[in-house]
Amino acid sequence: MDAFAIWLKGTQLSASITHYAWIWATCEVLHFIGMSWLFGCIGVLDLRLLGIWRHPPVAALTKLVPWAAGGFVINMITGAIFFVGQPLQYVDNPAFWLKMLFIFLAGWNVAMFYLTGVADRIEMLDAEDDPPLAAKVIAALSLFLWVGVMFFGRMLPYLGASF
Amino acid sequence: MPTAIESRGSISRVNDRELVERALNGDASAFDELVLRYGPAAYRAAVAALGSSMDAEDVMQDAFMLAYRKLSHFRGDASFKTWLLTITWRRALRRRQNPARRLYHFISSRDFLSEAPGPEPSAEHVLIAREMQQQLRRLIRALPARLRDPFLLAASGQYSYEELSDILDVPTGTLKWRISQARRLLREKLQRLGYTPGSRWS
Amino acid sequence: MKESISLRNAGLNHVDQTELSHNLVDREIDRTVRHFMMQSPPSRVYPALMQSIRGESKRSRNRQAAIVPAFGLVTAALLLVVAFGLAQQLAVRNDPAAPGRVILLLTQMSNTGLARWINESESVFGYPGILFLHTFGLAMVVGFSIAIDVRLLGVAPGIPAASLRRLFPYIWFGFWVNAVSGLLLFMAGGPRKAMNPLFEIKLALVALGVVAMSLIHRQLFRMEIQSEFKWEDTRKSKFLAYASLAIWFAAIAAGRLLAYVHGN
Repeated sequence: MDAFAIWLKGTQLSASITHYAWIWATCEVLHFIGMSWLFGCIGVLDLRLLGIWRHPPVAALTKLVPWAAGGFVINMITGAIFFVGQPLQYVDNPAFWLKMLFIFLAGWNVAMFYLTGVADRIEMLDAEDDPPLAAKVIAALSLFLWVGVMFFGRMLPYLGASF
Repeated sequence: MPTAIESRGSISRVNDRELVERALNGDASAFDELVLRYGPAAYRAAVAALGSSMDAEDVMQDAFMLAYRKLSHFRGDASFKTWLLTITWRRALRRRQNPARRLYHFISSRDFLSEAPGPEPSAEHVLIAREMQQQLRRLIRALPARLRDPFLLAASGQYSYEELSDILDVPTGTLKWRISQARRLLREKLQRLGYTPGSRWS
Repeated sequence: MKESISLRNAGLNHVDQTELSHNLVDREIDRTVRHFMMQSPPSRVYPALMQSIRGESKRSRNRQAAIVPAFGLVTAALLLVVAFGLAQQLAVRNDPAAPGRVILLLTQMSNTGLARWINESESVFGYPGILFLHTFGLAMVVGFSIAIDVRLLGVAPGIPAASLRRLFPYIWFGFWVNAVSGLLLFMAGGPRKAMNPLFEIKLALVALGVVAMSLIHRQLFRMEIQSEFKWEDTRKSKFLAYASLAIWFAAIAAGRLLAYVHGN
């Protein structure tokens, strides 16, 4: 992994990213916007699935999910740009790997949501209905994991050696 | 686990607590459904208290408006029906005890139950039965309120003993005793007036 | 007297209607009283009652629509006052040889025990933790605002206006988390942060964002009055949604760029 990072650092692409300060700044702004976007759309669905916010019908909320994906895509792209630009800051950084782990777990959580049929069961929920326990567990996990991603993202400069 | 409901429009199988939640969230049609569900119960309670259908209408409207305004005070532990009926009963009592109303009733000598239509008397005993009914109404009016109220409320069939106990704030055992007492008094008085089986009836 | 369960209103143990008694008088009493007590309210009662309830609902919504945004507007006004106050003070007295009162105050604040602990503590609850809380609050405020705005722009139309109102407490929670964490960061950061014009700009943008969300909140009340579950997408609501998105994105940008413009 380290060798790959060193090689990456030497590429032209990496150099251009770090050369123009505005690229990094813009990517940071977009990364934050994407994070808020993703967290907002997923968060409202999680609140509904937890039964805390009981009013809207669930089927309508799930229409927000494709939009949430947009935020995720933005962050993937900006994240890749960060990595390509400064690979050495991330490769040895425990916070970075934990963040990736949490992202992976969050994705696995989403997959479970669809694969175990919970997604189909909650489609039928009308306004005010209490969701099943499985949905609540998935929603709680989702909130925990995404907040974790945020946390480790914030910890990057502090747990990393070469920031 | 609540049953799934197919469309927004059909809320007939939704339970009261969910309707209250929806109404609190701004869905006025949810409260309409509660009005349709418990309108008759509230109306009949008012009729039992006041004896007049016009008064009962007024009290019913008052009670629902009050319930709507105070809906956020409704805690889910009691049933909505009982809560609503308690409001209705209190408003009806307040109206009944209103001195102006008492004066009006005294002057106009309106009978309790006078406005209510009676059942069609059975064919054979038309005249006698009508007379008996009038007598009966007077007797019911003359009953003390604490006996008459549970007696009339129970007769409507809208309320269980537990609900009546909550509304009137009287233990169910006492209620049952009062109801049977009311019936006994009426029966005895009617019999004393000569309405015994076999005499004027045959 | 035996009691039996009767009536069509099944399920409940209703007071008995029929009496297993051969007493004709009792039967006649029961018949009369039951007939009297079985009256239903005349049908004209219902529409009048429902009309009154609609009216009441409208009145209460209007009342709430007037009051609720006030909190947001007051908070926004306070923020703007702070931002402009800071900016003005610093513009007037930016001479390093004769630092102004505000700069002195800020330097003092950054020397307090709390500020020093925040800056120097190794624990996760120090500076990085407070930064994380600030990010978390941001995600709540901006994230939920985005969800509401996106709905106003037509996405996921099945969500009723009344439900969106219930998201506002979470937005306010995020706001206050950020206000407190922001204050701590500001205290620890000392005068350098305050001297950065982007900081005041960020505060002003946050204030504008609060205004936008308060106006949206009021708009949601009005929409409810029109009809409960579908509303006409008015131009005003769409405008407010776009404006809110733009303002929050700009606020995020101002926050991020703080580090670049003045070398924090």
